[in-house]
Amino acid sequence: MKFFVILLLFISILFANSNSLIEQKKASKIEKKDTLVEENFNEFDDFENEFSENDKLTEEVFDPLYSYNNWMTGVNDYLMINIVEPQAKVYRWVIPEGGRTSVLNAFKNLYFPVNFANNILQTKVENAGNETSRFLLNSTIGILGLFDVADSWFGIKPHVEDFGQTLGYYGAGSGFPVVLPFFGQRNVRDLFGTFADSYIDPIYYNDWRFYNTAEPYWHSVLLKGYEDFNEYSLTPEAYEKLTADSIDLYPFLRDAYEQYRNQLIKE
Amino acid sequence: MKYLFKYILLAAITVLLPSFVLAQDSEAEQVKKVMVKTTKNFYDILNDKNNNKKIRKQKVLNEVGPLLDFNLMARLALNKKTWKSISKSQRSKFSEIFIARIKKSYLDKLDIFSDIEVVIENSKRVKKNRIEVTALLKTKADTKKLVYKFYQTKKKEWLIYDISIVGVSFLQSYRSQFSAYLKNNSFDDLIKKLKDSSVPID
Repeated sequence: MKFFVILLLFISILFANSNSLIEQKKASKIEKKDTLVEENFNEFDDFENEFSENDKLTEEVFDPLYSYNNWMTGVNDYLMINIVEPQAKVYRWVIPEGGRTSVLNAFKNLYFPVNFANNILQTKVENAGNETSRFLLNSTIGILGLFDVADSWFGIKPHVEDFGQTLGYYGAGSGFPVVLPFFGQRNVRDLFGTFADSYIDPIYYNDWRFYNTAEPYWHSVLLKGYEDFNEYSLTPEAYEKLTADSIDLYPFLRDAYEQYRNQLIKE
Repeated sequence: MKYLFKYILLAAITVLLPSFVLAQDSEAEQVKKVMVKTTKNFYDILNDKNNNKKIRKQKVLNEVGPLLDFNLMARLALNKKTWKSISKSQRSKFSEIFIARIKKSYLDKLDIFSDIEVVIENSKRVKKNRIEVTALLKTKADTKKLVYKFYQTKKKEWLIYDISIVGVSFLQSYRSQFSAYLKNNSFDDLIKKLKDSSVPID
């Protein structure tokens, strides 16, 4: 009798256990399913977080000049496709690629005071030193900057910095977007940066300075235009191809510009 | 006996730990190798003038396509809020159109690459399940930085979900544009717009 009682007890315990085991299994199955769903969410959240910072900027973009910017982007787009691109075609045909690359190099070389000053302002002393070496090498051996020998012979890479980046480096926000005629997308911070840089940028005319490339001020603006045009000629049809996919051109360029500048500031 | 156990444990750690760390690095190295090989194959296809444009495009897609997670790209082109707010059929329709669109726009741009040299530079594990492969885009005007962003799937494959050039993320550009567009338009408008403004094929 005692044996039976023990057996019964044993069996009941077994069943009870197995019952709870089944329940446990069920529960774990449900739990598993839930965590699976959650995991999926977490996985996407993980991706979402990578974009959230920039998403926020777009969501809350402060764009008081929206109508003008939108319109000016349309005008610039028209000019790019109908005037700049056809002109660039002719220009490419007249001046060989080597010549155009040298023009680009010469312009870049002239930015030395701007690059140097802004590297110093961001306490990037080594980069400022590299810029100095580049300027000295390219202006002499590289014949007034026509050839970038500093990079091709000595492997000294450029470190381009402007005052807009310096402001960003110290935490200044971008203000709001402004689209310039011909020159395109900018923001208030970078416009102010260009203005500040123009005091030492040799291409802009300054009365008090001993070095000037262009005499009256408006010649400087023409030179700037030529610089951009020449650079554009080296990447044929790039503008048209890159903007072809945009859903809405102005927001596309506005966003791309901000992402690009933020990256430059971070580096 | 106690000491023996300690030594075995110590030996095991000294042997296993570095190999574990190395194994992690080797994965990034492996992904880089795949990219180097794919880039080489990509240019081989592009420079093979025996094939016409259409065949070259198809070959490029076959070469590059398996490395990209198109579905995830479509998922991430819209933010979570939008994705939650639309119906199931809208979701699948959007994915379908978006994927077709980005494939086409990429293949239409293959010409650009004949003037550009792509050099795979290095790879880095930025997170446990993320690897970034950096490449240099050498154009005639300058050198630009390109980043391929990989993630590890549940099947332990490494796939690209985003690409950024000079800091401009491919997906971010779409996200920003879509969310800006959806501020004043409905989701069906967006689908219609995507269909209408499809990139022209040459």
